[in-house]
Amino acid sequence: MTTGQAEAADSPYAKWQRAVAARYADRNFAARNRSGVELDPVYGGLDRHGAPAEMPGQYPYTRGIYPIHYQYQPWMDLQIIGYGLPAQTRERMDLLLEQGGSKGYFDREAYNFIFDMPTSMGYDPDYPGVRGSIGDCGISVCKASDYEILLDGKDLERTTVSMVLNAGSPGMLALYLAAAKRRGFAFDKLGGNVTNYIWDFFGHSGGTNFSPRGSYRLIADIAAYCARHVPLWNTLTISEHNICEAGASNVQAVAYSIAAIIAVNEECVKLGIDLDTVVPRFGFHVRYGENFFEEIAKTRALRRVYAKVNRERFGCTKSGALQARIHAQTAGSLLTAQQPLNNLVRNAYGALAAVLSGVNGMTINAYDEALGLPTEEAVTLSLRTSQIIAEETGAVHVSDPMGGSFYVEELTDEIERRVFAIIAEIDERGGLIACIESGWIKQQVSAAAYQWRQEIESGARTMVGVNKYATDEPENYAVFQPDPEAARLAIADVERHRAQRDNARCAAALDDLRRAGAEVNAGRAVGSVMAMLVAAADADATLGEMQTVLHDVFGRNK
Amino acid sequence: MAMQDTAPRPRVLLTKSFIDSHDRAIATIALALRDAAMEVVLIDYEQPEDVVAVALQEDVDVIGISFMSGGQVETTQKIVAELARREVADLPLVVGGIIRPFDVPPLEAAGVREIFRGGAPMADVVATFERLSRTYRGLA
Amino acid sequence: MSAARHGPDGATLLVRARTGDSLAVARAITAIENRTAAGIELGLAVRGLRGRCRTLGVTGPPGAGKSSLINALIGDLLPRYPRIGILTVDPSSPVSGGAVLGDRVRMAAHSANPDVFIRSLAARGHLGGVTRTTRAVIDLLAAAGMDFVIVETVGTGQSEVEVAELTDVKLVVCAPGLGDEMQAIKAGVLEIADLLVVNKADLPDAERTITHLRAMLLHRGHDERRRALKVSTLTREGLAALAEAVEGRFADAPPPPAAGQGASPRLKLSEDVAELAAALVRESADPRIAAIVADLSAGVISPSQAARAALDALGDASPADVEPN
Repeated sequence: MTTGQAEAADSPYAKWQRAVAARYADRNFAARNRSGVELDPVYGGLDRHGAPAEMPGQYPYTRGIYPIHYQYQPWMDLQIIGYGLPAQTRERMDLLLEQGGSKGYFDREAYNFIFDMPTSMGYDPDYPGVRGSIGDCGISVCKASDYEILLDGKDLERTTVSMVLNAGSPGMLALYLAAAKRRGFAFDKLGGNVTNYIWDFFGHSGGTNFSPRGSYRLIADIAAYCARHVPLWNTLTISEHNICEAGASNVQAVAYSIAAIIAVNEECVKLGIDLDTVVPRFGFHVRYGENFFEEIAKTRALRRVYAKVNRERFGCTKSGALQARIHAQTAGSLLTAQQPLNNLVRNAYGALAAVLSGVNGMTINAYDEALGLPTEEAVTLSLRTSQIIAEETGAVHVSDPMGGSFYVEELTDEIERRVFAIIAEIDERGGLIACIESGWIKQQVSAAAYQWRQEIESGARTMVGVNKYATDEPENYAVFQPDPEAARLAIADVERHRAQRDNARCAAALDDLRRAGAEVNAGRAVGSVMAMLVAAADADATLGEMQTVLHDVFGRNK
Repeated sequence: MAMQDTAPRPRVLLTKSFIDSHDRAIATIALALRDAAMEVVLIDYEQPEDVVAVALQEDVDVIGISFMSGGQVETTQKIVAELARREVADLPLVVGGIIRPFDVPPLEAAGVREIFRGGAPMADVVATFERLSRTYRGLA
Repeated sequence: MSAARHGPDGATLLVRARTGDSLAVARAITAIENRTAAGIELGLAVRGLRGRCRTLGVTGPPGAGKSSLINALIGDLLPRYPRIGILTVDPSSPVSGGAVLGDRVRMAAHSANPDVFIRSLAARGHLGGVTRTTRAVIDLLAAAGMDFVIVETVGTGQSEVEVAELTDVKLVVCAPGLGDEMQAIKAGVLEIADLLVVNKADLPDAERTITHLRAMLLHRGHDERRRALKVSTLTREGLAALAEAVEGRFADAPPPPAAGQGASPRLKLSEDVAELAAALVRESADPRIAAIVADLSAGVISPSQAARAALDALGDASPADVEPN
């Protein structure tokens, strides 16, 4: 190590050295740059106040949750995948795998499924009024057997399945677990995550979701069930990304994300769930691509505030409950339909900010998403962007490379202060749920979105190719056209499914689900809703049928 | 005084599907139209036909529909058919959001008055609603 | 109806509204709210003609769940009242005068029901939680055959007492844990409540809130009919009881107050004339009015001469009467 420091044995640097020695014995993470200079995996020293600087892997995890990060384990590339019917998405998955994508941790395969809007919200393809959206912008999935097509032949113990969806999350997890059960996989070997954006109605707030209170109860139920039966499953993703995409500032988005964690934790405590058993499986989805240094600072502040809140406010002790795992995604709302190739550049800078922030997973949007569903070429270029950062730029050689920068450290502290101020205001207003119900959060986000838009209109904020350097180039880009037959086929498929299943068994399972819902609603038998969802999915209940029961029991927000 | 409460204000219906959770664009446009002195009714629709029922009850001058996650053509065609059935075929319809090249011909054929994609200047959006409203009210 | 859609006179609109034509009802409301001459005449034609139509005012602070409660109540009311009208009022921007009207998003379940007519109104600077012409709009809905009309106020929680004069029965809705907002209720809105509703009864704090409210009611004198009820739009707990309680209050309620009751008929007439004359002057295409305006602007005639001349010009240019049949 070249960082010359005469260290006390309990200094952060000395502790870090011991942690690295204990955890990664016999490994050398030093890299050499083009000029032959040997690089430390992380640099330490005195902070700008003259005190020994915090090191990565140490509470409050400002500089990262691992002592050694990308030098040991690169981020997981999760390109969003999914359109049309399961069979069509499977073709795209095979292509991505061929291209070197879909790599999870430790040689697992990893897939990040996105679903069409009906599925995302928990509706079957034959639900009235959703037909036009089937298979458009995501896969249409509504029954356990759909996973038998999507993941045919895959070893599920070696496959990480990420499911990006909103109110349909509980039922979707049940469909996957039921499919895994049918193929004989033990639940305690299954890894993946469900975003569980069921509470996410103040981010992208428009969709029909569960009532705020019902949402938090369901999150607690899923967390409790998985802690017991699917312990490797990440049960909740707090989407800072979606709050930003809805127009909030970075500070607002971090604050509302932490407020959401507070609300979830309070719900779990109320139900008697030991936080140390569930919180380690919560994570964040954070947005990058708008302001390079601010985003690095917000990530560092987010990790610090999360650790402090969970330890100081909730008394969590397990390190996993204090470490914010972060999945990064570049900003979709900043992609432009004008001069769409510019989006490749935007995505690359966003992804670089994420890497320099020390995120754990990465989704780089396709450059043509403002035009429609991504083309295969665009999806491949997103993957290449990540590969270039990882394997050409050298950005991965040193953890938290911005640590110690006057600018980034000051900004990190300032964002932390502002985040705590907003959390205090939410507490004063009766907590997050009250703030959602009164419309306060929504007003704050809309006002920020509107202000942003006005800055674009006035030219105070630049969008290259839109309000500056615009050209009249004719549009001449390939745009992916979804299968116009998908709706008809999906509807025929679900009708056939209903005709062929054991309807009595299915109805009985849905009745059990309703009874479990009533119990959980009353604060008893927490975890039984998820158990009954899995049983219902195994009894061939569809996503929409399960959702109807859940809506009845837990209420809708509209 | 700004609040001359007798001046007829443009009334506009802005809507998106109940399953589409992307509401940044529609919320922003609603505020821009409000600041241009319009009265904006906001709803999520379940059935495309509901849009027309609401437009009639609210006596709006323009309907704006946002599509961020599919359904562009099919939904619009159903709304247009319902407008005709309810004998208000001249009520102008504007669509916005992710509108792909292959969506454009059928949307234009359906009689959509204007298509706005992401990045369209807000001033154009506001002016279009203003103009369509005045025309529909017979004030132009 | 096409091109010049705001042109039809009040009489035509009223005739069509009475047939249940929802577009005609909607356009009549627009005319009343815009205070066009046709709208003012319409309002006069239907004034006080509520017949058997029952009216319910709903007020309470933001976040109390007023819209959701109304949405949930509709199901309990429809069997008894086949046609229901709902007016929801949102504030207007004091800067631009525009408004975002979003209450009905929570009533989407009834969008397709032809027996439920929902209309969003902008307060347009009028204080008191309703619009300046809400009374006339309620009258119109009654004349158009509504059996029940609900008015949801802006919901700032403060000084929204005007709805009390407009409707037979008043609900004040609150929810557990609203803290400051509850204080606002105490500060005056409580006085107008016929029934106090604690929404979100599924919450743990609901019991405490209702105990608190009951103590407050007791403190303010004994009117046994002023009750506090718990409901939950989620579990539907208490909704049927609330519908019953509302029904009970109708039985006690004095006959709906006619507009300007107590005011001298002459005073009332003077206000109506002023309102109508103002609209007619604004809308007049009569070249004589244009000439008066020009002369006034040029300082050729005095304001008093102009006003008298305008009245004379209006005198022989009245449109057809609008009368109920």
